[in-house]
Amino acid sequence: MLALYLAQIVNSGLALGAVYGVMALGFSLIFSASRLINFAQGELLLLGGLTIMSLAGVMQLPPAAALLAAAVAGFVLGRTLFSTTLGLTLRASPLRQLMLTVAASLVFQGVAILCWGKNPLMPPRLIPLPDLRLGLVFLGRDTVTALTLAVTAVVVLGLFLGRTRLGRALRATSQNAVAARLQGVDTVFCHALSFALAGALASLAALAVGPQTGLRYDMGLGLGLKGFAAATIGGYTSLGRVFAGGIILGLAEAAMVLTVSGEFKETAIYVLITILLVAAPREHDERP
Amino acid sequence: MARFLLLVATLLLCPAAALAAAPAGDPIVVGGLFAQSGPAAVVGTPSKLVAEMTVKQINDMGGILGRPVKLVAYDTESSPDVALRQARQLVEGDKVLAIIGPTSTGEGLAVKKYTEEKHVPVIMTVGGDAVVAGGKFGPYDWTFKAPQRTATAVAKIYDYLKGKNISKIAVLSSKDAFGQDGLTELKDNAAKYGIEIIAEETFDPKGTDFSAQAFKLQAAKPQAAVVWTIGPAGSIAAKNFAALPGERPLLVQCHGQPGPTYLELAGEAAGGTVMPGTKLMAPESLPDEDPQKIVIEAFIKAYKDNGIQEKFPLNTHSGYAYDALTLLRAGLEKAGKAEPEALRAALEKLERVVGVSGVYTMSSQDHNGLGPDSMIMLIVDSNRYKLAP
Amino acid sequence: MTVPRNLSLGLFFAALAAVGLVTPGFQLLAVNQHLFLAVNVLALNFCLGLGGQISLAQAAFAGLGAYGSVLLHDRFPEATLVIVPAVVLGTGLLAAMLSRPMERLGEGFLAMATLCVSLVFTNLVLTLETVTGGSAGHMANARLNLPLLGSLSGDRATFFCFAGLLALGSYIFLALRDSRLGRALAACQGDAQAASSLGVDRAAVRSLSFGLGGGLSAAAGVIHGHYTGFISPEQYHLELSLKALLFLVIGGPGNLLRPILAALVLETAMSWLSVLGDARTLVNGLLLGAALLVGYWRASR
Repeated sequence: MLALYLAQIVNSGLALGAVYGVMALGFSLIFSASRLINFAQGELLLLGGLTIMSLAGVMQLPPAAALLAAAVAGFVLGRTLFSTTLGLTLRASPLRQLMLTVAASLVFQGVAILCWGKNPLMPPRLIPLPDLRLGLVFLGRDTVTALTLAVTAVVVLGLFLGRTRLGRALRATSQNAVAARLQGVDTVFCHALSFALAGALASLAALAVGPQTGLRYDMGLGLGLKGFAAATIGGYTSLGRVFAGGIILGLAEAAMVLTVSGEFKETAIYVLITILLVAAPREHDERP
Repeated sequence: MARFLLLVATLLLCPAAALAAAPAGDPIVVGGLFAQSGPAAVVGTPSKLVAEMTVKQINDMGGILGRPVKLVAYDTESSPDVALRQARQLVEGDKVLAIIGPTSTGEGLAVKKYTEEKHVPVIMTVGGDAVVAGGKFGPYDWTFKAPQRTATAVAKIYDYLKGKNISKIAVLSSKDAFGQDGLTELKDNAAKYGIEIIAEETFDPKGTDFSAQAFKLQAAKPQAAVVWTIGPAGSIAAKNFAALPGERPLLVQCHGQPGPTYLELAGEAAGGTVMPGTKLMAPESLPDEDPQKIVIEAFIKAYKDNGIQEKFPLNTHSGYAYDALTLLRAGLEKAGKAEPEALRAALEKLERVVGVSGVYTMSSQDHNGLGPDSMIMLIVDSNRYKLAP
Repeated sequence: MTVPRNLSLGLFFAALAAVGLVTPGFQLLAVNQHLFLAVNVLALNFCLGLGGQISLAQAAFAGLGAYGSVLLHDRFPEATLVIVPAVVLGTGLLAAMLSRPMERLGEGFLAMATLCVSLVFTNLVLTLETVTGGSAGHMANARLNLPLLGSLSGDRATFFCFAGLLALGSYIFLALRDSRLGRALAACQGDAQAASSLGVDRAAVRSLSFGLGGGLSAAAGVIHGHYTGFISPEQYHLELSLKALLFLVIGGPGNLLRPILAALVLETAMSWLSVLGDARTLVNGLLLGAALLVGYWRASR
């Protein structure tokens, strides 16, 4: 019986955590390059998912094409978000930039309402991964997709950031924008790139999250909050740790439901995060 | 009387009715409160479209008491504060005779407090029972409600389960007003039907996965699991239950789910789930002698002809605004004059008013007027709703 | 053209009073609801404008005020004079205590921590159903009862309560800003480490500004709860915090009048937008974005 419960914690925890994790990755990409919390992250996923859904409605999309289309659509969305928020206010206070992403999230929602209506929509499953059942461990198709996407993204982005010239420029921007600029790095381009990459990631995530929950105009904030929490647990900067933060959050929620009750789950999780933030032996001072 | 009302309903919905005498005189001004933005907009927006459609039908038919009806509708933004603001605008600014709406239970309670004091008849289209429950929620002399009570849906479900010899159930409800209402009623009425709730869990309706809750409920080995929520969360729960290994309980959804969205979002996991719904969900199953049949068929036709079907495919909630206006019309005709107090008194005495969601018979205690017989149990079979055997 | 501060303040409150006297009751309701938001904007200005600390907990403090006062009035309907100060002070103290350990956090982490405060409040209200009524909400039947003045109700009385609260808050804000404490807060905002090394007890002064903000929000919540006659978690949800932050940033943290005006004017404009139907959300977003950009371009010129 105990084994069953433990297995279920893993099953449910991964199902939740995979979604939180991919959301958190997008947050951390933008945060580490631009020191900006992107409140429109959930809406990027929403619009990316809806765009792919409409595309799949008019043409046949094999998995590879779907991935490519999602990445491109998300890239464009993210780049658009940049040029309408941070790109316009590079010298503004971080708070003004933050609030611009809040306004952008409303605009994105508005576009979703006008173009796709208010009814929840079910995008087709474009990545045909199977359910995974290994003994007691069971992962649904959408969870498998989300995990695969996230792990691939962590690896690919990790290689990109660590091994390529552009990636190093991005990291330099995130560590010290002024110094990076002095070294000839085009920091504005790097900010824009981080937004575009976050957009692409969100759109890809929509391929997994969309079929799991459906797509609805008001889903962004809920997803965003959990992603934000996960990114906080992971400490914003390292992609691997941020994704792990999402998984940990998912596992903690599942464990809470199974051992105590779903009733106090949210309260307990948020209290824990606050305590973690305040008490963690990290050099938070003057950090994010 | 029933035959007469049936005739009225037929005429009302018949396009040829345009021949009827054109209404004259000052219009009767009716207020409309609908959540057209915010989370409740999925229900509120089609309600507004249906209300506009119905008012047009009424006016084409010669209006009410020979006077045309004018609908003044505002957006409540799914917020109690805004709903109250708009209600006051309607009453004190637009001088409406009565109000139809609002959409969510919280909005309803905020509006009700004011309209009870101001003596304005309100026919609500909210799901929750609180608005007509009395007790700690205050008096409800002027407040009526068109959709079935939660208790009615619970009775329908328990009747069905009893018929299937099911006595042990588990409940999964969402942590919002709708889910809370359901859980309370399920608990309060269980003993009466000899049903035992052996496990209960709640979930956040904005969540993405409830498999942990589903597993925990299944582990208690209930014969049936009842899920009480409105919106996409219900389909996620269905998928989570379907993915569980081992012997699964019968999955029962509440009356908030029936509609094409549930089928679409839950996919194959929807198969075999049962739920109570209005007769609107299975019009072909109605016998010819059912007084609602003709009303429902005409309503569905008008719904499609007005282009609402394309934006908001017909679901179990679609008829509430129509019913609210039908009740208002019947009340005014019974009262014989367009005055609030007379309307209120007449509404309370309405008998056998045929609407889309049921046949309404009000009393001073019962400001909803629908019983379990207004609902049918549906089962999802090969991606369609059928009458549950 | 620069208008002396006292003159512009005087003009603002005179205009506000004129609005309160002329507007018919039911339209005053909208003004009152916007004033509720404006007081929350001012409350947030204490932490963010003076102390430089972001907070998304304002909704929780307003909610604590509303729930605390309404639930206590249900038990002791006559004890307004005890309940209201207790609730306001209690919330203020709680806010001050909460802020102390959070003082060290940088902007992102502080935003998350205060956001958690809001979410914890909402979830507690949902969970403690027997006390709070859960998500269905709670009817607030009791009125605020003051000796001599009698029970406080009606649109105009509430309007002057809110306006008075706004005036009181503004006075404290200005007095604090120009005091030694205000300069210490400004120092924390400018360079936290330098402030510390100059002997400013950062945690203490910042928790004071947080506490004042919390108390002010709670007072606004008290009035709002009794006035609306119905309280539910969705009225004191995170959205309120976000809106307060949004308008404060539009008007510029640290400014007194501009954020309040931004809240009143933009909220009124947005409530007129309902004529747009489905395009409403989009236009809301564009309007707020434009307001943010205009403020930025004006400041950078």
